[in-house]
Amino acid sequence: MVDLPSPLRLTHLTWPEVERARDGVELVMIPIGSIEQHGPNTSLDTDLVICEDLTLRLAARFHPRLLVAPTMPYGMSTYHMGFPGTITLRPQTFLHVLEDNLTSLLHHGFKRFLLTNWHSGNTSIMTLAMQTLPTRLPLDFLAAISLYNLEDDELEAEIVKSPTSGHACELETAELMALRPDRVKTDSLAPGDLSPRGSRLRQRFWRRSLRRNHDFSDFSANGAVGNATLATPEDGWRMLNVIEERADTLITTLLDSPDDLLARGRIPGWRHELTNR
Amino acid sequence: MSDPITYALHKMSWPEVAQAAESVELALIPIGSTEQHGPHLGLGQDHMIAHAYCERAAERLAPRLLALPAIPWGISDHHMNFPGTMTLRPETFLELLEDIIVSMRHHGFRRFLIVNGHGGNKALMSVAVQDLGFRLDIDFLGSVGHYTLGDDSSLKAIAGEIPGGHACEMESSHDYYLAPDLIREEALARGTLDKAFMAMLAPLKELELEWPNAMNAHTPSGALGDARKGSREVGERLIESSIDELAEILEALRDSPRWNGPPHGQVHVQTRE
Repeated sequence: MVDLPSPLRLTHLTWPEVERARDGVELVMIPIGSIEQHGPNTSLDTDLVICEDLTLRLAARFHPRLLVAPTMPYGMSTYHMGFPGTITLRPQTFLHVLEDNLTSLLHHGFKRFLLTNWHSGNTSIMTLAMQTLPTRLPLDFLAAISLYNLEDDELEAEIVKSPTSGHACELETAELMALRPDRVKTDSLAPGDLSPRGSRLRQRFWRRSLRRNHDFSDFSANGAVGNATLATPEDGWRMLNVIEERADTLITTLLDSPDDLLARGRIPGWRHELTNR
Repeated sequence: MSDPITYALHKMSWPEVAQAAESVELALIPIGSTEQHGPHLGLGQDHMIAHAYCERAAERLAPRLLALPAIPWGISDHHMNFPGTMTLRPETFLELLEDIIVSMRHHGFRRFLIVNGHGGNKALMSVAVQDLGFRLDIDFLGSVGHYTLGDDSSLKAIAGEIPGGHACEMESSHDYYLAPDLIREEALARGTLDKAFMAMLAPLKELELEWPNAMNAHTPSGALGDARKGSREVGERLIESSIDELAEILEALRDSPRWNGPPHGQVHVQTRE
């Protein structure tokens, strides 16, 4: 195994390397991104690169037990379409692209998959994928982690000074500054230009589990929520290190979980079993 | 003077619908499932209760709401190990919703609320609101689980040792109030729990892992909670207080920037500059 490059990143491997790595890989990670506006503060691929970089760092920690599949660059970003540059997929497209990726990887002998995500707009489509794709494909395990859910609340309270934050804010901008300073538009950093009425409604409906069609421009005129001018790479690294440690624990726990119990929880593969009968 | 209109589409004549299009502010689309509900509740539970809820809401808030027929199937792959469960592919479900909305838009209804009675549909309906709310030329699309609204103190008061959530005291209470013929009195039983599986799951959930998994791994009988503790009184309290909150939400929505759309979707992008 010493000759396998770390981390195992599919797009950067040759086919003989994939063949040699195959038996030792216990989990394939598929980063899910977005191409979506992040105010005047950071590039459209913010979610994609944070997700991808963190996933690669995790793969390096567990080398050679984790393989990183190509990043799915597009997600569901309908409510950012009010800002130029945002690209969004229809749910069918997202599910088909993911299904084809999984089918290809299954063909090469990989059976267990973890989606990694950095865009909250993707959480529902990912859940839908996990609920329904195991019925069509003979995979052993399909789960997901939205890496921002591993952020530490106390540290967040220390870093975030804005009353409302969460998109192109001081924390997210700091995290990107740490990983990819070239993506941060240092000269045009600006706090969110919030509409009080839009923000109030957003809070109110979110709490009540009501979902509704909206556009981010309803509550932020410049597309940011939070204050990116306060971002520092040091704060970014502090939070990224916490996320990485927690993700490390999660993956360790997952890899140590008994196979028979994981199998018991598998959504039944009744569609592909019907096809193969 | 003829009888007042019943604002449930399947019971209306076309002239009544034409009249309703003038007053109705929001058309309700009930969704649920056809899936196992343990040994004691019928498979139609989720969509039948969602439909009855919408009919009751339309009656109470007449003439402002219209209850559309329920979509009887949902996302239930995790229940497929139990006989009788049926499930839709996500693309089928999304196309059904789109066709229902576009049909009613043709008749002059431009605001829609998906009213859900099945936890397994949460991701689907959130995706539907994102996608159809963006792509279709309508004024409003929202979604809500009817069981997430209202005052649940009466439910907490009867909660037992096994947490509810499926074929439980909440669902039997809903049935006693709105659909008593779905209950098999002689089969009513406390839910079951696979402790080994739940113990493995706990640390993974603690670390934010999202992993939809098979229902039979949680409960061999297909039921959680304790359906024996349900009652008509609790059901009435849950449903009626949920409709109270729906009425409040309706008021708040009228103040929403999207209530009278457009701007929407592509149109919004093109007219922004």
